[in-house]
Amino acid sequence: MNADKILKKIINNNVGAEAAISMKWKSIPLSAKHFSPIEGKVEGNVCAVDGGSAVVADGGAWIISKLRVGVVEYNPERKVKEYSQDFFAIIVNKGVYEVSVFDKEYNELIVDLPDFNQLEIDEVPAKIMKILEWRACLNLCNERDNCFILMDSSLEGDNSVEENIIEKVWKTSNVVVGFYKTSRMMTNNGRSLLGFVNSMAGKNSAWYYYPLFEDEVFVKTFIAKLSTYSKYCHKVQLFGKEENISRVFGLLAFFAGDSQVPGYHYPLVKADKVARINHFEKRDENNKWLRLLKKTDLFHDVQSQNFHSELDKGMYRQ
Amino acid sequence: MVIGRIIGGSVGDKLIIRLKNESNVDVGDLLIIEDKGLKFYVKVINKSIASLVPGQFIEEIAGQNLEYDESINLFDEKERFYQIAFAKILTIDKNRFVPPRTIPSFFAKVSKVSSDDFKFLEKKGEIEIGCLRLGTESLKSVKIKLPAKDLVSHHMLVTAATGKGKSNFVRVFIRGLLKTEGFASLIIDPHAEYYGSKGMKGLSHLPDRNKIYYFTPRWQEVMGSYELKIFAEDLKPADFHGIIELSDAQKEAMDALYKVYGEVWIRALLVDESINNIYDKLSKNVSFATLYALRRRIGYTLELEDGESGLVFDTRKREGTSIFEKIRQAVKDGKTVIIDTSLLGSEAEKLTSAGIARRQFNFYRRTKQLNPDAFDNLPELLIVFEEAPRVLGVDALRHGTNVFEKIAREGRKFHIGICAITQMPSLIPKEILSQMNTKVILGIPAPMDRNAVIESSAQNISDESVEIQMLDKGEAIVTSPFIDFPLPVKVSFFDDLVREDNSYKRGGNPELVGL
Repeated sequence: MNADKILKKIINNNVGAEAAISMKWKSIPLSAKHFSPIEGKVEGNVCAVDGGSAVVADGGAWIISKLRVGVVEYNPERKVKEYSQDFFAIIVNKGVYEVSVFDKEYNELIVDLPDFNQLEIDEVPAKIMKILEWRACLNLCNERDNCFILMDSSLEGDNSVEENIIEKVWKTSNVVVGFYKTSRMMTNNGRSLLGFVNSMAGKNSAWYYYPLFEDEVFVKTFIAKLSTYSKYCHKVQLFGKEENISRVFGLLAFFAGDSQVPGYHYPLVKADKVARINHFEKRDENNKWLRLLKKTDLFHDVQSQNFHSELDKGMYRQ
Repeated sequence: MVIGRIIGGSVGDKLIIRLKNESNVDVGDLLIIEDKGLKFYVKVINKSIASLVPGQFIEEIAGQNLEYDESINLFDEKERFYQIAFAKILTIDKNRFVPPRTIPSFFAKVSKVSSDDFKFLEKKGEIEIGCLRLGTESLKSVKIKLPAKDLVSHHMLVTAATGKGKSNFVRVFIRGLLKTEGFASLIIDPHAEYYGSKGMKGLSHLPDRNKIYYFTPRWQEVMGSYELKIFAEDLKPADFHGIIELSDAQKEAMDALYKVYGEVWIRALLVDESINNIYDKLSKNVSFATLYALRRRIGYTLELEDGESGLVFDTRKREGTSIFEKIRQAVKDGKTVIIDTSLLGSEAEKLTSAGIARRQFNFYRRTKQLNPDAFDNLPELLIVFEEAPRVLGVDALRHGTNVFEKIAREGRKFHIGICAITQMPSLIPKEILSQMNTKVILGIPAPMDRNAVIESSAQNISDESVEIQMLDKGEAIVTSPFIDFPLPVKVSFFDDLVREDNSYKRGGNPELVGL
């Protein structure tokens, strides 16, 4: 088959991968001996933090974005807590970005923010979101001891503000886990690291793979398949005071046992649901802001951005 | 206690309620929704299971478990997997009861009912038939009483499959009627189950037994009963019309016989005269074949054992008062008359019951026309008969109209109602079913019969089809224009009422009797 030619470009007749590639750390050659089965006692509470955002008004040079941080807490028996916090972020481009954050009662919050000027304006809300997620994580850490807190992304800060909060989190007695849905980590011969390690594991039940890199400081990186019934493995990062890795993975695996999404951490699914700003809510907010903007000159700014949707409305029944 | 929240619905359709886990709500349960100063009385008509998890995941989870023995493990199970109840609004309490023209708001609280919610039912009627049923449970403190005054003359239908409690209901209803002034009843009893015997509680075991007249062919065996004996001289050709299958020629021959022989027309045909003589006396206007066939037909119907008399019918000269007169007097006095037809064949039984009913109907009608004052003093009469399609069914009415159909159509004007009991209401024409304003429905598994009852009910019970199918023994739905909404009822067990009545009669506390 001609398509084989394409696949050969990827496989390159050399299926043996040697190590993960990292710009930061020195790789350790991949080896079957680094797999560990997941066992261990299930005890303690788990919190999960996630964020959701939606641009509710776009004036070209400015945007208003609704942000929501969702937090859930579970013990092995049941859900303990579930709440969310809403924010509005206003980003105005005056050559440099002027960024303000408000709570849902429209009180302006003093939030330490980094310089976003290297980003496109519509990329800024996601960055603010990340900072708000870390702030929520820090609040949880300050209220708790020896708790597991799950974030749905990297534990490494993108900027000084994030790094500052992460450092404060690190100083508490809690364990923070970064759980990745997907990863572009790779091997030195062009394979996905997750894919390669998963194929090395064969049909083993739940496992974690460690170490990948030498001398990791602060954050440790793992690959783990958290459920026998899952076909997927995930990149997992971890930092904190916990010395007993198998206890951490025991707890992670327990909460990854939901039959709807085996292998993925259920509290994170829940936090995502809590934080999500769905299509209907986005439309409502959008209408609310448009009503306000129509009373001002700023409505013309909005018109600079919404011709696509006007055209769609005219061309297609919606 | 809040057991659910409104999540949707419309006035013309159903309310949709998300149920709290383990809230234990069944189809048929009554619930209360209080919202914006209104109190909605609703009834659960169906239930379903629902989930926030998309169907394909659920199927996959089940499949993984079935095929690979994978355990089913679900976090937040109560939140993600739950039950939905579909309910119809029965009525709205707006300081008075009004038909449902609005619906409660989203998330309105749904609660189970308590006896306080049904205090209004206490004032409704005189005839206690049981207590309020909530699905499969019941609220014993809420007694269901039907209003005799309106209900009796507007006809009743008691319908259910075998063993669901039709006879028990009738006994319970008649007990209530016995306690109420101004009513009489006439019960045609083809299974000898209403009067009662040593091993079976019946109306004779009630303290009001002195108001019961029992006519039976076994009168010598049952103390206090009367002989069921019908003399042929009391029967007229009209008694046979629509009751037994007769050709037009046979009907004309009967009329001619009555004209020539008078009240001894049957004896003349069966005993005294030869067919040749009759042929001559009828001026040769009726053929031999018709006369022979008529003799055979009537002889068969009257079940004459020795050619002259049988268990019930007798062609000899009557001495004393006719049974029809005795029954008329008893009815006039507000008694309950039970006619034991259990030993009769089908045709003899129909002839007996129609003969008695026809005379009552004629008596009431004549009294109303000739003596309105006396009519006002007559008790309302309820005629109870089993296996109703035998006289009211499409097949039965093909031979012509009969007195039962006449009462169904006109009885109301003359204060006579029928209580038709049947397993198969679908055999009764729709227009007659619709005349039976009050329907006591006690569990009908057959869809055809269920639909017949639903379509002819005074209140809309089309949503109750599932419930009607599932009704257990003694569980009923009563629909009637004289009650606010179709009432779910747990019918009292007659034997318990007998015990209760007799212990009260003795002046004791019913709970202490026998200790």
